[in-house]
Amino acid sequence: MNGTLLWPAVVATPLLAYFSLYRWPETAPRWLWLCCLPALAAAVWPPPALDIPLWPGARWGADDMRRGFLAFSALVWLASTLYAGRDRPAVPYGKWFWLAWLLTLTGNLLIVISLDAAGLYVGYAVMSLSAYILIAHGGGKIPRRGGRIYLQLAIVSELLIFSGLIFRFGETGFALELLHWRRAPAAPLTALLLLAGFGIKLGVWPLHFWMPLAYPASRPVVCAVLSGTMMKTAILGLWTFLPAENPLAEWTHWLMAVAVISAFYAVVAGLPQKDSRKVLAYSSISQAGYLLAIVALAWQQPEHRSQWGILLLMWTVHHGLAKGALFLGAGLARAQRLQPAHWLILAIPALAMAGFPLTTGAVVKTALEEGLTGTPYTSFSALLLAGSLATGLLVLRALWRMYHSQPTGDADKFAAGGVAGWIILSLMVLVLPWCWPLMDQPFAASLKTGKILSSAGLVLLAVAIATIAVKFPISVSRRSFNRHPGMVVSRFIKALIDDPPLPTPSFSPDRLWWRDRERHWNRFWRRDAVSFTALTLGLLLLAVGIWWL
Amino acid sequence: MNFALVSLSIPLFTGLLLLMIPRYGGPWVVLSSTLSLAAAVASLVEVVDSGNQAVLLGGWPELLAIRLHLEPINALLLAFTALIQLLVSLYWSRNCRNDGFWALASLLHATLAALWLSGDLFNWYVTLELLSLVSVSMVALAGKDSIKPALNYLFLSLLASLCYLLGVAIIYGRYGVLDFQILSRMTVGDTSTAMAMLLMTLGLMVKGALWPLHLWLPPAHSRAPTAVSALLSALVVKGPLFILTLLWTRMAPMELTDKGGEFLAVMGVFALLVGGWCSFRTPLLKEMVAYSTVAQLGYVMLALGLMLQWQLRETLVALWLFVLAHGLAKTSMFLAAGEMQRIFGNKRVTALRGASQTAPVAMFAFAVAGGSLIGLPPSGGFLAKWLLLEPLFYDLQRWPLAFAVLLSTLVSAAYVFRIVTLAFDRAERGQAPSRDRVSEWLALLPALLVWGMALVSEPLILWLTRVAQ
Amino acid sequence: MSLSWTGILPLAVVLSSLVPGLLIFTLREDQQQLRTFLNLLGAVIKLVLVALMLYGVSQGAVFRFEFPFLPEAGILLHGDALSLQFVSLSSVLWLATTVYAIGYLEGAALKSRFFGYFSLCVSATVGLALAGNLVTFLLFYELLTLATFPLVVHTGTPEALRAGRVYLAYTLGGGALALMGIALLHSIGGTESFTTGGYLAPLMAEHSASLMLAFGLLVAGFGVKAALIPLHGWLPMAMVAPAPVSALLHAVAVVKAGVFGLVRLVYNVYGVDVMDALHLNDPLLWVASATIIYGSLRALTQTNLKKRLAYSTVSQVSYIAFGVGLLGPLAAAGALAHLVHQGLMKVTLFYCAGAFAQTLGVHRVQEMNGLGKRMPATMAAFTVCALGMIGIPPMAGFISKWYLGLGALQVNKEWGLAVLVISALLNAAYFLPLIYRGWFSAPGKEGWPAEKTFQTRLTRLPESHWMLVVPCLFTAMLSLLAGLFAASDLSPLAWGLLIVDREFQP
Repeated sequence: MNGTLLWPAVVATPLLAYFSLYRWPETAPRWLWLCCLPALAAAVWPPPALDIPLWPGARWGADDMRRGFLAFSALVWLASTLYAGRDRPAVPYGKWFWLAWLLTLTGNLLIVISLDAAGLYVGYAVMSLSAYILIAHGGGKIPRRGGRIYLQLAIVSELLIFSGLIFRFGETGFALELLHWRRAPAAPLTALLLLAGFGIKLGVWPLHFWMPLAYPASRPVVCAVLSGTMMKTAILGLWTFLPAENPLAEWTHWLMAVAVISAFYAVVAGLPQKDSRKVLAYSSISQAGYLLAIVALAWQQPEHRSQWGILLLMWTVHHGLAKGALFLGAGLARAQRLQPAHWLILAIPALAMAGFPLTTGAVVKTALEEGLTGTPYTSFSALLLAGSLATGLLVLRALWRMYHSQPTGDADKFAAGGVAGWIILSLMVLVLPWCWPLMDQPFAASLKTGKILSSAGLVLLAVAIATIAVKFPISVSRRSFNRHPGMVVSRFIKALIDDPPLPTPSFSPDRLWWRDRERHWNRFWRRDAVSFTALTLGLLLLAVGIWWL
Repeated sequence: MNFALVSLSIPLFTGLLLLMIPRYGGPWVVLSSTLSLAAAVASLVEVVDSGNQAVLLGGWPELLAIRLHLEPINALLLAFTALIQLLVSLYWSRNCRNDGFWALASLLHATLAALWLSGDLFNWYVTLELLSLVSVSMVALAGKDSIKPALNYLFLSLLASLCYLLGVAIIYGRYGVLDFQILSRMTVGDTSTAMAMLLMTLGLMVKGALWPLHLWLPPAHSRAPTAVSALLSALVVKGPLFILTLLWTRMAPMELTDKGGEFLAVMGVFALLVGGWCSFRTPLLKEMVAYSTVAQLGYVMLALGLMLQWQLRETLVALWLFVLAHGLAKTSMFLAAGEMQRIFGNKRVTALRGASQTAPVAMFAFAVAGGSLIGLPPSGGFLAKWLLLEPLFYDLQRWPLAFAVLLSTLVSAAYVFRIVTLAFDRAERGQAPSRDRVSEWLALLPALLVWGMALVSEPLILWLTRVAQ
Repeated sequence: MSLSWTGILPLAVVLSSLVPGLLIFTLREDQQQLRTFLNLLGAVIKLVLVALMLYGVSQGAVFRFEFPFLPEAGILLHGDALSLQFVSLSSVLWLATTVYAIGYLEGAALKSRFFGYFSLCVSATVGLALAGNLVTFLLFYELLTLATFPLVVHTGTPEALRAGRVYLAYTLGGGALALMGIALLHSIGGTESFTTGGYLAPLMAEHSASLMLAFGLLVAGFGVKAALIPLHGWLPMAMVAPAPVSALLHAVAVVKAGVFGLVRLVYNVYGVDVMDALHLNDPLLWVASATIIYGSLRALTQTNLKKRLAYSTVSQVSYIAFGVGLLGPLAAAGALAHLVHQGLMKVTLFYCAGAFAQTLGVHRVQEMNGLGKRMPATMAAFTVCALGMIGIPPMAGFISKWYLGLGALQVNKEWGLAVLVISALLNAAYFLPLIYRGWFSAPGKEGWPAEKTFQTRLTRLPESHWMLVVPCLFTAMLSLLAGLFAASDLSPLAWGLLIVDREFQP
């Protein structure tokens, strides 16, 4: 079998799996994780690219970067589906949830395997809109508000991307395949549109404000996929839509500034939060800043684009796995009291995020540091250190809040099968540096003594600060971080749609008065036909006579 | 020529017969109309084959004798008259309540035939007089209500005839002949000719109810019995129009045609707009149809005016098409209106609420006839309007007239659909006690014919272009 | 007048609904089965004939029916690619609407009259689609007005009569303006049959003023039916008509006729070169853009569901005029594809709105809460097509927007893309709340305004009469397939590209 069916299977399996819910409503959710397997298989043994007779230009396949994306996305989805399928929450998931879940999965996979621009956009749209249902399906005020803001921003982001898409089509000579887009230069406006559009999904400051609202409103599994995979598709979109050549010229510094602000502001805003999901959301925002920084750096050095691409891939995989594991852990912590073994496993992705040696976190941070040499931003390595510290603090805060979110008393024992995925995800951050060939070189670099000392030192410093903060708590108002101008706009739009201003009444003439005038006029002329006609005759005779003679 | 004379004599003798023996008027008139139609068609075929014909009555030489002449247009009008007469009498034979009608109708037919066939100015005067007398009496047939309008019609007819006669007298005094074929070669553009033309034109305008001398027509046509209204609107007003057309296209001197055309065109535009507006506003059904006649005659004036100003043959063809289409459509419209007035027992337009359910065929007839008056394709009215519009766009100066035609179309649409919309009202419906289906279908027949003109449109237009002159 | 099958077939397609229509007029109210039989017979025969015609064209046959009418401008029925696209759309949607109308009018009065005029309306539409020159087009254009007027005033209430009067005022005015334009064109150069690339190029040298005036008149005349502002006023008022009429009028017959006229005018009468040389496309483009935005803005303020859909139609149909006005091949392809896409999507939306009204008495937006639970299949169809209207991939609306956007760039009019994007935003603003209400809101405590149970001998679906639901699902499915499989050779997009290919050849 030459694998021609594998690409369609990747996309079709989740859709077809939905129908199994009708046949076996009780047991099907437990096995839904199987529909992620074709994607995993395609990542490991990718068949050649395939032209699909759907929309114009539809073409599915995977180059190296996409293989990586596919692999970690499939894994995160697998783990989350496994968890969700065997979960027994107070409010059950229901058919609509599963429909949205599977559609989101389909959209996500479609984004990753599309080799044409339209396909990526199709996947993006399907994914974004289905995710809304995932966020808002629970009902209640908070999910609805979170869902509303998410949806408004999702629509805006889709339209921005659509505009950018069309502009890119124009710039590439209407080429349908993304392969050709890398070489065609982009105008600043196009880049701005795409950055804004994908940036909303990515969650960089200042377009991030939906995340702290949407994440706490959703179930933890949803947050896991939102942060673990869906956010990453945005960066894939940015990377593939925009060319290697820097479209922003002198404004790249601004982009870098936005990335840096995003990285640090998120930490500052996230530390005071109470909900562990919110804290982790801010952590994602912070990490989004790093990803954006990598994109900016790649533009600064277009000749090293492939290396920057590898770094991007590594960071994405690292963050996806780690964040997915953390969110699933958060969900677990809400559902039951965690045993020490759980805490041990939970610590692994947390350490990875902080950059502890031997984890993927250390690898990617080392790689980034090395990559900075040769760019105008060599001085930023200090910022990197501070950033690692900040990330560490944030993750510790999240763990702390998870600890406090555990239910009191004995809750139901969680089915062992459900956590298998979570365990795998957590362990992957340890295993990956050893197995993945791409990580070999930075891994080796991260094992240098100096690096180990600095990484571990930072983590220990973070722990120390955290301990001090626990002992001497400072109360900080969360309010100022929860407000954002965007929310005002969102509320305004909602008000406008709910209660639109009615059209102004139009002018209507006074009919009765006109009718009266008309009656008078008619009566005047009908009085005496003969004399009027005779009179007219005489007048005409005179007038026309003079004219003609 | 013989067939034409036969076509004239049959209704004449029928009329005289019916004066003596008034019974079975309906069937007699139907028969005589059919025979007359056959004769007229035969004469048409004859004249197309053999060319124009003439006969001098009484064996007198040319300048002295009364000349009757036959051209394709006259033959066509002969056939047209017979056809309308046939259609109206078919309908009226089912509904007539007044035996005096039939004799008068036959005499009307004969008079019109004589008018079409006449070849000199004085003969025209005679036929015009006869026409007026017969029409006035027919209007008065309706009884008390129609006496005043009939009298007004009579007075104005007399005034018009005097004007016309004065004009004829001036012509005779200036040129010494009355035969208009000869005159057409002789006329020059001096003061007396101009004066005579003016007088004759104004007189004919009164008789033909051309704006602004139309004030007698709406009351007369609306109060007359249904068949009378149909005949008057479809045929009687066309007589003076025919004379007017021939006067200006054949007899008028070159220096005068320009001004005459301008005058007529302007009056035509006003007729269209004012007549249309009055039709739209009146609350009485048959008065609405009568004002519609005033408006439609504006098209004829406009066509004639344009013909005179720019010498375009298409406008003359348009004129004759208007005459034909309007005749058929107006017949149908009056018959349908009269039928509905009879069914609902009320003269007002508002009585027609819900007529689409209570009197569907009659309302359909009304709507179809109205469609031709508006000029919706592919009816006869549309053909006429197309031919009129086409030359209006050649030249920048003529475009305002085109827009005037556009406006008049909209006004006609307004007054026709005012009725039709009312008919679809389901909230309130008038009482409809007795429907006579056959009468309704007979009222529909002329409307179907005018739309059927589309089937022969190209040959008809080409033929008319050849023979109109 | 030739008698071969290539000559008869176009005429037969027109007559296949005319003859049953005339027969239906003569039926009494209680002859239900015969009426249904005639209706469906006509629809099926028309589909078969259209399929035959498609087959014939694919084999290279030329379908042409001529009849003399005016001198040098006869009646001509001609089956080229563009007319076949429209005819196929009309035939398929007529069948669906007939089924829907039979279900919708169950228990209503005056059905014979309704279905009679219904059939006449479709005959006029098909004749218009097959028209081979401007005079024939005008003929069927006016007949369409006359046939649709009784449908608009069918309910006979004062609002319906008022809507009918306004409708007539606008459409007859438009017809008169179109007549002016056609007479003008005829007077300067004669009326030739529609040719790829237009036939007015030789006249451009001497008569450019007349050509410009004629274009203005014809755009105004066709624009009335195509609901370009400020000539769109009749459309929202005509919503008082029964839902099958709204569906037919707004998706297939009247509105499409107007915009189809514009397409013919620009591509087959004037031609791209003349349009470009005289800069005639710019005013059209501006008016279309303004209509797109205005329609969406007005839709936002409407609380009546059908009126909201009406303004949405005003906006969406102008996409086609927009694409035409851009005067580029990709834009033209997008416009032609959108002709079909918008038809399918809008007809579904109206079917659903009618089903809601008929089953539950839901007329206003506020009453739509909880419809997803009560009528899931209908609401699902509504959702799919509403999302398509917004332009969410992979629905058909996205494909048209994509190509229109590309087309705007191709002719260097980037602001056109902004119009599309703003319109999509506004569409989302007035469609998404409806979808939200349907699926995510709980129904009001008082229950539905006027719930109705259907008695039908056939299987009664739990949500409503099957004749109301199945057409919704059918057309929703078609619109989904049209978008999903847009790259295949059978899609509306492929057809549009084929037509454009021939048109824009140098």
